[in-house]
Amino acid sequence: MIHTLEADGIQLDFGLRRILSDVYLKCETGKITGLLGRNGQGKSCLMNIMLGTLNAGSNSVRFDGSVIHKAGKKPHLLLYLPQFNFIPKSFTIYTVLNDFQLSMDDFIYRFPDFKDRRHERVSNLSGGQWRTLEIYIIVKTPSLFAMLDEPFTHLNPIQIDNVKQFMLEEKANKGMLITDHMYNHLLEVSDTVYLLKDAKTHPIKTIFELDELGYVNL
Amino acid sequence: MRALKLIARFYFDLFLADFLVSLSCVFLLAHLGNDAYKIIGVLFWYKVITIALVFYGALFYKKNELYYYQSLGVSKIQLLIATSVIDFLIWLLLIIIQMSAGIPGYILNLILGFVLLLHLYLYTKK
Repeated sequence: MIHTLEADGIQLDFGLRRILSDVYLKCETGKITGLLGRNGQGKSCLMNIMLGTLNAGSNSVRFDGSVIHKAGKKPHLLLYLPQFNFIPKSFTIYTVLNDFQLSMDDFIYRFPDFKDRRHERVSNLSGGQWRTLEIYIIVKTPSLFAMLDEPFTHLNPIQIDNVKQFMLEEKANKGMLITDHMYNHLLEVSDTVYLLKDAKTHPIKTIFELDELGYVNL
Repeated sequence: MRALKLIARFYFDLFLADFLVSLSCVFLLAHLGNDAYKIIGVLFWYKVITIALVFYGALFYKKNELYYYQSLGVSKIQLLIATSVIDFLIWLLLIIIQMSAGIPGYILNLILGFVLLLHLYLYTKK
């Protein structure tokens, strides 16, 4: 069964500045949805509104057509990877995977870099490894949807390829909403893409539309 | 069970500050002797306010980590309520023991020293 997560009619103002209006975005299980936009266009705000941690003037976040509030409090429904590191730095890799009830062997099989590091503290990992671990737990933990805010930040090219491959494998188990400035990588893995510009979402079919809308210079 | 484990881990980082406040209350009661009951009300509010301040400080310095707990189904409110209740009960227990039996000064010093050394050890291990 395909589940849907929709954000509709979202309006957000910071003082006199309108950040979001006339926003529509739809995610489906089994698909990766990409969200592009320049800095300050409201990508992270939109994710926080969908998560329920930011209140908007008006919004409708719907799961399978029914309005839901505070989706972030329902991790079986929606998990969120913020753009900053969120795993407490004193925790070990083993502790983190154990908390999320994920198999250490599966993790090492998918990311062999972590072999022999199971009892290493997260603070001892490189930025890329730390981010990889965070992506892994958010994507691998059972939930219907996952929102990933700038997942490719801090990753080197090989790690990016591994993470993209991992996401493509895991999209069979959930729907993902990804936002990142590395638009080439995002376009490669996404089934549907939206560009957030002038407070509105624009569905994107080809990279040339990104050029027309002024997001890239081809 | 998993939620309790997570709450305990979060509380561990607040424990030293909260416990020092509780011990300061007990030291004060021990110092006042028979007049101790006169300041129980003040100590109660002192404890309540410091619990709130310590939690607020934790939210400020560990706000990113709250997403970790949220992803595991433990909300900020649950952390606040659970850590506050646990800490208040520890304070209450110490106050009751002090008011009814009186904890000898050297025991209080031993507890204080033990807690400080334990935290120093665990902090350096981090």
